[in-house]
Amino acid sequence: MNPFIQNVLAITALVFALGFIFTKYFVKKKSKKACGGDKDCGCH
Amino acid sequence: MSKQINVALIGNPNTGKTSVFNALTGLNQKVGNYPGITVEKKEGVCKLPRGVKAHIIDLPGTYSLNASSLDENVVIELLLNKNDKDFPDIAVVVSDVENLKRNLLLYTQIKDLEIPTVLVINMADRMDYKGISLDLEYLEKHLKTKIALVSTRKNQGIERLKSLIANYKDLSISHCIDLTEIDKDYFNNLQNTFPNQLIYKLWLVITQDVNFGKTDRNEIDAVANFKTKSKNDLKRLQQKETIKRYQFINDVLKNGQTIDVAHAKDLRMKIDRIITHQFWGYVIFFIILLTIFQAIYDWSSIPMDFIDTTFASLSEWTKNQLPPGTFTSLLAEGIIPGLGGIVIFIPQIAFLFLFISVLEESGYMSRVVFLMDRIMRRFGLSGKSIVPLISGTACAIPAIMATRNIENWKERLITILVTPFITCSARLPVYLIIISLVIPEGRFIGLGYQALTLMLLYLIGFGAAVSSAYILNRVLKIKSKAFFVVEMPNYKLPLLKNVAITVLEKTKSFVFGAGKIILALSIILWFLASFGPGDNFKNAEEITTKEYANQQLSSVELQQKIASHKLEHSFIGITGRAIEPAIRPLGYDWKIGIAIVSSFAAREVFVGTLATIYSVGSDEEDTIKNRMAGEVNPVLGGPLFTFASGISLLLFYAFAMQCMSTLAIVKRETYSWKWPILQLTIMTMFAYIVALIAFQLLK
Repeated sequence: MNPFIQNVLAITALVFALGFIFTKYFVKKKSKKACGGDKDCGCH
Repeated sequence: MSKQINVALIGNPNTGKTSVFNALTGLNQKVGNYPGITVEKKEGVCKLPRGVKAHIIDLPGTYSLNASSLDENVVIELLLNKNDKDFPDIAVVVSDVENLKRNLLLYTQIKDLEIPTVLVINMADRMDYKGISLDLEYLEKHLKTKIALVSTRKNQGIERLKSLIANYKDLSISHCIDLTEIDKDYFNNLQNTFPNQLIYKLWLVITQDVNFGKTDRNEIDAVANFKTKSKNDLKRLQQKETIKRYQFINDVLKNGQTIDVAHAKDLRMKIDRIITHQFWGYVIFFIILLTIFQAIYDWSSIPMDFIDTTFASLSEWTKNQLPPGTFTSLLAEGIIPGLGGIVIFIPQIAFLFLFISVLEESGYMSRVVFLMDRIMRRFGLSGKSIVPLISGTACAIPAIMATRNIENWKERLITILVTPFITCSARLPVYLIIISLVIPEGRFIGLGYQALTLMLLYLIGFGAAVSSAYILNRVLKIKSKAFFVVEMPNYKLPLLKNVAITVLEKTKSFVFGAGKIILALSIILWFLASFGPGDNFKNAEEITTKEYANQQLSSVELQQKIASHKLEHSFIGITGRAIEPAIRPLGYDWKIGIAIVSSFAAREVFVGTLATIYSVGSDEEDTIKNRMAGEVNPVLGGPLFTFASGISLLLFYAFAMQCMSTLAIVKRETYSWKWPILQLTIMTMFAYIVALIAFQLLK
């Protein structure tokens, strides 16, 4: 494996890691839950 | 032609509904299906006095009219549709004498639909064994109905039930609760817009999207000047409705039902009297806790050592087998040690959940809740708060969500605020690694010091939670307390399958939940530790060689000095040294500082972070524990992890709010950022002060 491929793989891993952390903590997820049919919605 | 009346038999699952059905119909039932739905219902005929025939429909068991499954929807659709040929003239709600509180929720909902309703209190033969006595006259008056006390096993009360069904026209149809008390404007507006409709039916249609007659939710929306609320607002109103119903039930049962434990005759009650005894109950609980913590240590030491050495070898193997380069270093020094920092704790986490699962399955945990209720009351909280607090030993997030069953808002708020003090499973890896470094392995009366320290930390967490609840109770002043009723399940031998599934699921969620974060952070931290700005990092080799030119260092020692210099001047080193002055009084160096900051994502990250930082630039094959034990205090010399700094770190993690996800859930549950910010500030300040005092006193 030449140094170029090593660097590309490492940078790809970094981008994925940063993307994961960013989406986990900074992107507000849309709730898929709706009242009336979901056990975790808080009203059942 | 004799008259026939429709009777709907409704109740929670396992209340003996089918037995009542069989007793009424003499097993003369036929089985039919609702069209298009696979849920089964039973129908039968019962002969009543004066030649009246009753068409009995045994509906699927349901806990409430807030349907969450298709079989529950069957019940609601029948009760809301007057045009259905099976629409009941009378509803017979079957309840179990041992679980009246829970069963009555459904009763109050059906009653509010203005359907004549009879309440059957089944399993009456168990009352004597359970020490339960009922004031039937009081219950009938306040539940606004007639009650049949039934024992299908002894064939008692069936004739009275038949007589009540036959005279259903005499039954009151008045409501149990007034919905307008929940939100006056909303429900008055709803009633004014649909003056000919029953308000509770409208409310069920709006919340359940169930059609009745010709009106559905969309039509309700379409009517001028009336807008249904947002889903969140509807949820809140539904929660308020449930709370209101339970308040009504609590008030009725307070005087209508007495449970005298002293008169209980059965074996279960005898065991309960010992296990929930006001002195021996706590002694037994304490012994069980001691046994659990000792076993966690004794049983997991061999698999933990195996995992630790395996990861150290894997890291070394990767370095030797793959060609040198950035990615190889990232794998060997970042990803593998980072993952090792979480996998190593699998045995201990699995054993902890094994014990918790056995206690839950056997029915003992409900007794613990009952025991704790006594303590909680002294600190101004009801036993309802103990359920979230006990759930908090696994994770604060579901625990905070579990506070939703606390009716009183202030009591719920206090429980939300103090729950993060409870030792969650994420703290466990931090505790275990620090304890193994600073607490000796000796034993006291057969109990290891390390196991005792771990148990002490759990008790400190619980102590901090109840003490802060006491203070908050004084500050926020709770006027009315929630009435606490705990259901004591029968004792049973835990099913191996259930225990295995729980252990597997919990361990999986621990590894994969935190594992993904740790993997990502390990990669980021490795980059931050392997690269740096300026000449100090770039020319590390030259600077270090010059600096130690006069000393006779071996090539290994020199490589270590270069790696250390590089780390100090890397991005992470610069950041760590910037925060070091703030944490040095606590006995920590900048590397621990970085681990504390990164573990704000999840506490478990602490060990993985240190494993990654200590691995960067290191050529030796070594375990996480050995690397941590080998760290030298840059100021005082000697080991970095001493008894003083270790205790300081343990106490910091015991009290600090080191969890971003918990803050987010507190915000969601309190509908404001005010409380999580306050919680974070106070807990962090308190943790800092306690850790500071501990280090300064012990160093």
